[in-house]
Amino acid sequence: MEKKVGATLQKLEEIWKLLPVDVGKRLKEENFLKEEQIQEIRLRALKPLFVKTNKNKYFIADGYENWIVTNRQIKEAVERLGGYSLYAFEEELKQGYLTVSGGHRVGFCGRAVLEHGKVKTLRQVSSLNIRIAGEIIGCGEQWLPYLFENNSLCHTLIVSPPGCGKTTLLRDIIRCLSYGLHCKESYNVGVVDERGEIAAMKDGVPQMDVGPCTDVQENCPKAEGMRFLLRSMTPDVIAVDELGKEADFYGVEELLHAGVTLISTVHGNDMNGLLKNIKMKKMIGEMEKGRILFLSKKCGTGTVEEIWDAKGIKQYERGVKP
Amino acid sequence: MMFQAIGAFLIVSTTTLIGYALGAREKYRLKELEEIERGILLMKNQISYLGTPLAQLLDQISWKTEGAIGLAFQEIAARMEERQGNTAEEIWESVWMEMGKKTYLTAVDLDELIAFGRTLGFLEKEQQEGSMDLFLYNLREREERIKKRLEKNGRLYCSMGVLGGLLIVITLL
Repeated sequence: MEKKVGATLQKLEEIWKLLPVDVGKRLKEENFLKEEQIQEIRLRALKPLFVKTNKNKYFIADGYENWIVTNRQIKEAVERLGGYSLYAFEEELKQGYLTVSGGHRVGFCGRAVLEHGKVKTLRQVSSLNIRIAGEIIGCGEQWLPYLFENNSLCHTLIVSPPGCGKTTLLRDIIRCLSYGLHCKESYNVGVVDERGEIAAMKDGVPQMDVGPCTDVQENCPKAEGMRFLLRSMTPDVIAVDELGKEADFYGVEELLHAGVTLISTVHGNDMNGLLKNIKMKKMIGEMEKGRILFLSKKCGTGTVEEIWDAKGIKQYERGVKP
Repeated sequence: MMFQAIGAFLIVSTTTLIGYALGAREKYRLKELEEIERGILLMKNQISYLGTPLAQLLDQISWKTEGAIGLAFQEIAARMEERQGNTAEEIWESVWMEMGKKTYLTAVDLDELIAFGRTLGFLEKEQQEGSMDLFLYNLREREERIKKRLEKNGRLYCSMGVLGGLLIVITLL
């Protein structure tokens, strides 16, 4: 199986293009970036430019002097990342992030402007975090057998703190099911890609490999997206990223009763923490067949620590032979 | 005598053409300002109702506007798509500085156009619409002024050309 690991050179070129010209040029000169896999680029006003790779964390420096990001560069970065059209991304800015072409997510911090007690927009952006979307083809294959019970696919939750590879694993599981890898048949997978990170659509075409039997509902709130897909696309599986808002669970409830399998990611640490969320506990309780995968970064991003079933029985634990 | 007649004819026809060209220049300028107005109006509608990003909408507008103005919109869209500038303002200004030479727009028109470009890219929808309204208001006022001047002076330019030519001929004779 071919493995595409993280930010390839071609992908890096795309990313440099999104950054202010001098920042992109400076990063291009860094040789280590060609050998390592970039995971994050952070720009903070009047602070050194920061890069996190799969192996290390770096402050970019010229000799002994740190390479400082200016206020102007932050402003330029915001404009370039927003395609010179911030008005087109007001909704995303309210949430504090933007997904750019290629599925990379950019987080913003600045001064929030409030209207009726709610965030209307962000101004005076002071720091940016560009999280590079990683596509690791094949990373989900070994876990597929755990997702089946008596030959039927279980509802699956992928749980971890941020940055542990949930979306990457979810994307590969979608791809496997869509191709029918390690399954008896291929599945029709409906994806609600609210943040555009799973499939990274461009002009209606997924930039990531999500398989041939996958329908993507992009930029749509999860609950509504799940309803759309249920009504219109007769999916076998519906996949969503980062379940958590109250409204999301209403959509899931409908889905669980409709006989469609849910595969989703959730922020969390362990089973106890997960079950403290009442909505989550109720949802897991309603699953007839379910699997919960816990990820960590202990042996690299995307390490599967444990797999539980919905009845609370551990199916797998890293380092423990079955 | 023959040479004198030919010379007189050439002088009168040249000055007539100069007079006509002066009038026509204002007409072409007005036509280009109207094209810009149409472009900005389309831009405003696209932003208000669809929230289309600038590169995409300027490309669409370039197909709906004519001549050098359409080409300028197309060039801006292409440069934005390629991220050939740090800010929208930078791209907008550089394109109009280059393309402005191929238009009938005056330095004042270009200055206003460039000033409008300084509001592009970083504003919220409402503010962006506001800046477009202001620009459109100024543009329409300018167009009105040119139209009035053309009505008043349009024929005058041609007549001045003919009469100026005749004056030169008489003086030379």
